[in-house]
Amino acid sequence: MLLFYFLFLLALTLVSAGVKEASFIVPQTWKNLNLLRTVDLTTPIVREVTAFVAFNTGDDPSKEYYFPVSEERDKHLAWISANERKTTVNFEVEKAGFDTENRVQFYKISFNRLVDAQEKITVEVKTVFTHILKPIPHEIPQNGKQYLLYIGNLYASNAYFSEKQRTIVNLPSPQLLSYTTVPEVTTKNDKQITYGFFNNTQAYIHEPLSIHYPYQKAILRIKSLRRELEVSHWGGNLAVEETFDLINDGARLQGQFSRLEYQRTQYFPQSESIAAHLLSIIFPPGAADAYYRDEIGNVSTSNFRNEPNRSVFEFKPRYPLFGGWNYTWYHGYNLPLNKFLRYHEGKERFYFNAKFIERWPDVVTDKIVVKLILPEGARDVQVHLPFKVRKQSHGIHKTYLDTIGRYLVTIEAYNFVDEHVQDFQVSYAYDSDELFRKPLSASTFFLGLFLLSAIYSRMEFNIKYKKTEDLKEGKVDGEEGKGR
Amino acid sequence: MKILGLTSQNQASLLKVIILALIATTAIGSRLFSIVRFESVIHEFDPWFNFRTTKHLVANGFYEFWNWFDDRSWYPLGRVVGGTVFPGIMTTSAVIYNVLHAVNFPVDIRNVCVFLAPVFSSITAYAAYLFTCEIKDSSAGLLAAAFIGVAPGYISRSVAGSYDNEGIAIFLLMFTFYLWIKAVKIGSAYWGALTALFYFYMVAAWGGYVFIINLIPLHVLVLVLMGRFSSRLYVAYSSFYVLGTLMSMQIPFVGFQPTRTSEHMAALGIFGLLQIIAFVELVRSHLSSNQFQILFKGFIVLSFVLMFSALVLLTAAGYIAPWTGRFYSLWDTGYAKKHIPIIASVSEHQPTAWPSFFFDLEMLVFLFPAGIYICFKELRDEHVFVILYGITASYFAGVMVRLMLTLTPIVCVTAAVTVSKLLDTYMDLSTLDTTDLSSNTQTTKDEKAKKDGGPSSKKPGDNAKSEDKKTTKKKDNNNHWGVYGIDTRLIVLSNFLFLLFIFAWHCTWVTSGAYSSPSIVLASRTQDGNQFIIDDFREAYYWLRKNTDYNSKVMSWWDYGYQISGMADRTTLVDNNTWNNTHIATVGKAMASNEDTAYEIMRRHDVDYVLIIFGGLLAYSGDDINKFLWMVRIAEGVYPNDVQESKFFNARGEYRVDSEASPTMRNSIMYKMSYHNYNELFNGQGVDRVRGAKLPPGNVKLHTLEEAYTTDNWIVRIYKVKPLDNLGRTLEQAAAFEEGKKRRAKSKRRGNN
Repeated sequence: MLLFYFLFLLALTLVSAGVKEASFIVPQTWKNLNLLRTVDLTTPIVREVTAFVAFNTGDDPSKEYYFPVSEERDKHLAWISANERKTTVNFEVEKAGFDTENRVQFYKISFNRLVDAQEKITVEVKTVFTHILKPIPHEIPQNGKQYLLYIGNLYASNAYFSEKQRTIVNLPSPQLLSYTTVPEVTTKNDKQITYGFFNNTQAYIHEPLSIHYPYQKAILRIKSLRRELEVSHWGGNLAVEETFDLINDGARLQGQFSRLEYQRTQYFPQSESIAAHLLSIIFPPGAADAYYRDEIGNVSTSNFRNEPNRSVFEFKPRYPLFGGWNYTWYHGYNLPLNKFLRYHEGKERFYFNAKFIERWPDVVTDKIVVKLILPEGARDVQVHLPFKVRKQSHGIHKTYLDTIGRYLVTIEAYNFVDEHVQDFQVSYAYDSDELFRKPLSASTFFLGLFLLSAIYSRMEFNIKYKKTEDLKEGKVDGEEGKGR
Repeated sequence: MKILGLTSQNQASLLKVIILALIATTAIGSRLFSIVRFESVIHEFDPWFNFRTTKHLVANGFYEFWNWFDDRSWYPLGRVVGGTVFPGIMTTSAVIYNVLHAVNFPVDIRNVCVFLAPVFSSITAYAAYLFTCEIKDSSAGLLAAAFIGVAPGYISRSVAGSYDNEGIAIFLLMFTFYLWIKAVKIGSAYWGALTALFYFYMVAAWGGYVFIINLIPLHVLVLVLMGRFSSRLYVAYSSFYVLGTLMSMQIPFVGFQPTRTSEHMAALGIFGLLQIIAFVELVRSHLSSNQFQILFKGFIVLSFVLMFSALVLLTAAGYIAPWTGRFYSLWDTGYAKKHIPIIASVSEHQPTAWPSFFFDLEMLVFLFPAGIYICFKELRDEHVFVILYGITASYFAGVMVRLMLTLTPIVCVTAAVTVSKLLDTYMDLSTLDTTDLSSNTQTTKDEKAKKDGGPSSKKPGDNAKSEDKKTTKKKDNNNHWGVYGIDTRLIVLSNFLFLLFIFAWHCTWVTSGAYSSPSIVLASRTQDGNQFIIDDFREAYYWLRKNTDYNSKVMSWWDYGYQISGMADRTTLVDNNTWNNTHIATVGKAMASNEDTAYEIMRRHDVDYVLIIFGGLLAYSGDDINKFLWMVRIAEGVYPNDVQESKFFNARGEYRVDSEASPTMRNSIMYKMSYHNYNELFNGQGVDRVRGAKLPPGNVKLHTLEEAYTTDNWIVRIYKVKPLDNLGRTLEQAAAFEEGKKRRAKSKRRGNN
């Protein structure tokens, strides 16, 4: 037993040693001539855009540039993309090696062309982080002010030497509780703080930057979202149902909720709390038959209106959502299918295009499951996604009067932000005679029912002869009884 | 006369099918007001428990349900659900749910439960049709079906969403009675066994099965006393009683009650009596009449004395349980108020006020005695049954409001017999003297047929069998009385047509106005006429469900127990299954005590939250302050030294909440929780709109509880029980200290300024 244990430990050390061996070293073939990093703190989702002029110091033409994200930050990285500044052509970004020394995860940016030696290219890298702002203090009273603390790097995270760099932080309001100051290079300007220029900074340079600022809005986070899209060729209808599990991630409510205070402050907007009491979601244009329910029934406090190029769904949760409070609900609506489905004559295939998720600005979605239910008899299903997801599976979904069941595509993804709001495409083949499956099965069902009832009504379960005799006897008995 | 190539008999049956289908649709349709107005939701209190157990049954299967020990109610005692529940309705819904899912119809279990009662009401209409067909004929049957389809007395318990035992029980009641009548008529063990089978279903579904097991023996007894003992009766009752009793004992909640409680003894006694009579009949056929007379008398007296003394002895020895409180209150309406306040506190256990008979039955209540009279005129075995049913049910309906439900079917049946008899008489063409007028009547009849659903239009076809008998009768009658003039006919018929219209109109009005509110959602109108939904209950329950710990214990008055466990999914101390009076009294005591006593009780029961209903702001009269005296009474019943009802009245004997309220009242936590922060809402002078009282000035302070949540219209108020003080002070001292600190801080600030 002990021996096994030692062997196990040995194996463990070997494995970890193996990982260490594989630590990734970036070839120093670039340097940054000028670098500008913008940190956007105006929403609870932190967006950092790093724009730089990269100069190829190597001897060979190169198209690979490595962008580091610290291990701590990488856990909260929801989105990364890169493009050329002038042409806004998107470059491919993929996860590369991990530097165990500096605890840094690398992303490899592949330019669309080779950059010659001693040449330069201007690139913009956008990274989006979730869950990195902390409400401090952790608990606030019902009408208290909420402050968020941002802790980051004063310098841009970079794997190469930079000649000149600058960091700009955009804030939601001009007031600040505290912020890091670096003598002589810090300028605060209304809702903006600028750090820099810093000259000749080394790769991986890190200096803590902390900003503590007020943010008097709810910080909404969707813990899980289940989206069901049901395609019906019969009705020409796309039925959408979305189940939400929402939490206000802001500073927790200190003590208990007082309705009195809440009702009083409704008349004084300046002392507004961070509670979310009215939410609104945008549906695609042409949405109809919207409903809004939760686990215990219909919620009547909602308002739905169609506008020319969108539909707006405004709703109140059953109770105002203070910090740390949860709320779950589901809503659904119907859409005309012809806006989402195209038929390709040549390939004899249907192409279904829809947004992966409807845009809800500034709200993080931790987990999302999209279920696409294709009509019964759809085959050869191919899914094209604009980004990588955790899991994709295919199955069968049986519902009203189905015989073989409908084709079900389930897509599971995590850590979703606005940038992910993109179309996805599913193509499938579908024979037109499949349309008759449903009426056929329905009419067979009813025919069977009628046949059964017809047979039943012609069956005789009594012993007939005896029955009539009994009846007669009964009548006589009855008459007798009366007479007596 | 051939229409559509059908013989008149086929026409009649086609019409019958169509009319019954229409009645079924109407019955379902008129119960959907609540869905159209509000939504598909489970109503009121008890249905929430049934819904919760149904969900448990569907999710975990039958055996798990059968053995379910619910540790989330009656904390810390828990409740053996499988053994204390009538499983009929849950099993029915689960079967429907599973069948629908087996054929790929993914209907939500909530919708199955919501629509169960309306669907069953349409089957009840069919059962009433069958029953009345046995009493009179199919035209009366159709009328009875139409009546019971819309009668408010039945609708009150079977609107969509009212997912309660009564929803299916009335169908079972009617159908069991139909089968029983059939069994007595035919004298077949097959029908007797069928009666037993449906009786078993009824036992599984509703406690009201006791009505069946007493009414049928009563019927048998009366028939025997009338000298109508026959082998048919013997076969029917013996097969019914033996099979029915054995089957009913399979329900754990019933168990050995059929052999051990007084409620079931009558049935057993009659069973014995029948055996004796059958034996005596047998002996008589073998003996001379003189010998027999002596033997018979001696035997009857002896066996009666023996049986009765055995019953008394067994009751005294404790083998047979005496009558339960709820049954005593059926005989003595004041009994419950004196001895069991918990039964008296339920509004549906109150004696019925006379207007509610008219409200629930409208013109049927006048036709009912006439129907009974007609039954007396014919007095076959089944008519005896109808008479007995009518008399007993009308007594019970007078004693308890909720038993109006059992009266409704028989009132519908007898009223249908009356109306049908009347139509028979006034529309019988054979008594018409002038031939040229007959064509006129024909048209009126057709019109009428169209208007009231046309039950009378099939009369000629239906009564084909009894036609000759009737005509001869009629001819005899013509000698004495008859309806000769067309004008007389028209007056009477149009009057009744008018009454039928008014009936339908009244039923719809009552249904829509009185019985279609889910009571968990309230509706009012804004000034511009839009519907305004007051959804405070669900707001509070959902808040509890989502924002408190899953194992929190919520204390509330028992009325809200089922709703809290159903909607908020939190552990409750007491609920609507009022099986433990002491526990309820403990909660009542906590509510009625001052803060420190209440705190001790709440700590002892691990209470985390206290939920109360307060209607003062919105003038919602069903709130806890109005129920408070019942809490006090029930608490006093168990803790007479700690709680006294008299202390909650002021010196003048008034129950007040304003400045003249008694000190005990004002110190009770119920009072404090209701009015906490309420004065401040009005800037110092709160007005209770339910009781029309101005509150005493000053803030209501709480030191052992803190407000955790109050809903939009203040209807539901939830308080959190404070934990013990960290420094070991009493909570009162701690609160006073905090208060002082605040004051000092304030004065300091003022001083600085």
